This record gives sequence, C-alpha cells and structure tokens, in this order.
Amino acid sequence: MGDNRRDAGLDFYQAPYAPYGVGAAASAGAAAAGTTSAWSTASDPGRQHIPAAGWHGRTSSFELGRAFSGASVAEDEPPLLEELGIHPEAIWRKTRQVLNPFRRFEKSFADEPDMAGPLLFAFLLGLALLFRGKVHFGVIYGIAIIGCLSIYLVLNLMGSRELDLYRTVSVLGYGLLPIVLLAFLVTLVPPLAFRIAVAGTAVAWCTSTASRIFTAVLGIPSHNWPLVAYPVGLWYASFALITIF
Amino acid sequence: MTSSVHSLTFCGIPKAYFQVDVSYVLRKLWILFFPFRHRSWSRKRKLLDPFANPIDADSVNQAAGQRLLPPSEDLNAPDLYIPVMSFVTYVLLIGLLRGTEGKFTPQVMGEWASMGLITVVLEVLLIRVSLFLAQSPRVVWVDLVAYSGYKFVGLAFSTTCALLASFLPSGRIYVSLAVLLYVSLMMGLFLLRSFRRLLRSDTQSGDVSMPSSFDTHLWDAQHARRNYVLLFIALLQIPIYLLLGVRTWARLGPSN
Repeated sequence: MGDNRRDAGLDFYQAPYAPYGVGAAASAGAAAAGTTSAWSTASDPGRQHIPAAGWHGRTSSFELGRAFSGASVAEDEPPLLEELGIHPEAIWRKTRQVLNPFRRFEKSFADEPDMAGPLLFAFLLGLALLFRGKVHFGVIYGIAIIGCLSIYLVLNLMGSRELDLYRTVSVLGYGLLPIVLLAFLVTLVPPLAFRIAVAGTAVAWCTSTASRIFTAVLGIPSHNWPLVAYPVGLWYASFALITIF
Repeated sequence: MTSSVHSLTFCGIPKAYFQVDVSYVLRKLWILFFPFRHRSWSRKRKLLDPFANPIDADSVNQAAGQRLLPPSEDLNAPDLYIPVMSFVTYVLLIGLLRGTEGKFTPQVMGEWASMGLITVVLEVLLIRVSLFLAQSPRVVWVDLVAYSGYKFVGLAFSTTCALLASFLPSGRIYVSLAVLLYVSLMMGLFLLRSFRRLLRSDTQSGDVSMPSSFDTHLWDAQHARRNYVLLFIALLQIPIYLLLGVRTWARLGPSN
C-alpha cells in the first residue's frame, strides 16, 4: 500500500486519494498513512529504504511515474534548445559580429541562417517600446513582413545570384541590434534633435552591416553597393521612425 | 520562380527593370529634376541575332528583331528601382514630418502609402486610356507604372524641403507650394517628352526640332489629338502632386 506508492516514485505525493491504477485498498491505506509518507522514511528504519525518486520514475515500472516526470525523461531525446534549432553560442557569435561594424565579415554569416536571433531582437525592440507605453508589436511585425518581402524581391531582381527568403530575413534581423540599442537609449533621452542624430547613426550602422553581407552574397559589383544599401537603409529607417517618435 | 542565374524574370517581374547602376540612378535623377537639359530622349535598341539570343520578354519587339536596352545601358529606359525606392522614401519622410509636428502614429505611414499606391493605379489607367485614344502603339503596363512612379522622387524632394523649411517661422507653406509646383511642371515636361517619343515610334521622324517634321501633310487630326493627349498627361501632374503633397502645404484637421 504505502510501499506501492513509494515504488511508483510518488513519495512527494501526499494527497489522500490514490493515483490512477492503484487499487482501492491502497487508497484506504494511504488515507491512514496521511502525512507520514515520503518525509518520514528516514525516521522509520523498519521500512525498506527507497530513495525519494522525486520526479524521475525510473526506478519503477509504473506508467504514471513517467507521465508525471515531464519531458526530460528519456535519455535518447536531445535537449530542448537543440531540438528547436536554437544555438545560443551561434547567436552570440553573430551578435558580436554585428556589434563591431568595422570588422570584415566572413561569408559564413549568411551561410548558416537562423531565425532565433532576429526573433529575439524583434521581441526586445517591442519590449523597449513597451517601456515607453507604446504597444507596437503589430507594427513591428507588419514592417518586418512587408519590408523583408520587398527587400527579398528587390535584391533578387538586382543581383546575379539567388538569395532565399530565410537567409534574407536572418541577415536583416541580426542587423536590427543597433535599433534595439537605440530604442533603449531613447527611453532616457527626450530632445528630438539628439534622438534624430542617434537614430541616424544607428541606421547607418545597421545598414553597413547588412548591405556588406548582401553585396558579397548576391554577386553585385562592389561599386554598386549604394543600390543595395538604400532599400536596406530605408527598412531600418522605418524601424527607427517608430522608435524615436 | 525560376532558379537559374540567367532567368529574365523573377516572380513575374522582368529583371531588366532592376538592372541599374549608380551612374544611371544619378543621371536619371538629374533628368527628373531638369528635363529641359536633356537632349536625346529616344530609347536605344539593339538588333537581335535570332540564332544567339533567347526568347525576349518584350514580345512586341521580338517580331521587329530588335530589343530594347535595359537601364544600365540606356539612360532613357524606364526602371522600377527608382520609383519603388522613392515611394518608400516619400512615405518615411511624411512620417518624419508628422513626427516633428508631434502627431506621429505608425498608421499614418500606412495611410499615405495606400494613398500613393491608389494614385499610381488610377494614373496608370488614365494614361493608358488616353494613349489608347491617341491611337498610340502599345505601351507596356510596367513601363507606365514606372513612369507614374517617378513622381515620388519629386514628392520626396518637396517633403524634404518642407521639413527643412519648418525651421522658418512662417514660410513653410510657400516653400512647399513653390517646390511642388516646380516639380510637377518638371514631371509634366518629362512625361511629355518621353511619351512623345513613344507615340512617334512608328514614324521615321527623330527629333522634333528639325523643321521637316512640321510639313503640312503630317499635320492632321491624329497628330493634333496626340498633342492634346500629351498635354493632358502633362497637366494632370499638377493636381496629382498637389494632392499627394497636401500634407506639406495645407493646414488640415487633427484627424489627418
């Protein structure tokens, strides 16, 4: 009865009614046991000592234990982040590349695109705007969608190599970092002229990051880089616009 | 969507409209602001070698064995890069203008973007109808969209002037009205010359400045109708510019 419950790895479970599958006799016994369950094993040397298995039902073959143990039960499943495709060290590496606008970019930036960094930055931007009382998540989403699609179209029409949408969104999204910094900075600074100046700097920073990568990947002759930089700059400028006002 | 490097279209849009380079963009902007300085307006053609070239997207000229050159090689060719970029610039500048007035909301940009797009659509339809009435040879729709989209260059410029002039105490309305009128007249001239070249593409005459083109046997009703249509297209620009630039020169209510 009590042993049954302990076998099931449910030492922590102290409710008077029995879990599913355990017979009615155990429920009666459990009601009698009451609060003298898991925590009292140490004081009862007569009982067979079974380590409090807590969440892990490995010591028991009872199915319910597994059901109570959650997602991290089996050893053959990968960790959650890896399963989702989010690699924090890769995100951090790319973020550092964006933060240093004067370093030459390796082409590998666009070779392993991922969406986690851009989503994180977009969310941080919305959060920064939330601190000022503006709920603009929908606007950010809209600008991002329309802008990314337009830039994808324009860049593919201009370039001699194809660029797929996923990589475009990834490169553009990583370049959003200076705008996020701008958004947090503007929270502290009221004067409009200063805001516009800082916004201009941030937009120039973002644009140089993204357009250098795009020019290299698309095979556009390097003397035509303003043609790539301009649409990208307009996209970042629209984010800067909703940020500073 | 084709995936070959040498495909001619992408998602249905011919790639030729985006084959631009920086020098083309700069010179085209120069023409848009000062069309009276530009001399030769005809689009260049290149003879096709029927055995070497693939099927051209511009089927009208395919039969003639000629191909119109893309913007990177021909200054008079219309492109879509400048219209699209200047349209977005115009919308962002309107947003900036309203922001300096303290009345910015993100919906403003969407409203003005829609207004601009609707104006382009209506203008393209209007020009198409009037060119049809003038019995012109067929003009490609995308070319008309490009010509109609060039107006946003002037509008973006006038919005910039309004922004800079907002530092003046009272002169902003006059400055922006003056700039808008100038730009609309210049655009009218630009369209006039471009379409005149298009309407005359089936005749032999080149430059109109040559006296032989004023022979009396050419001066018939069709000729006159073409001129009226061209004049209409040119004069149409003035109300269009004044409408799209209304934010810069009119004092509207708080809802706008």
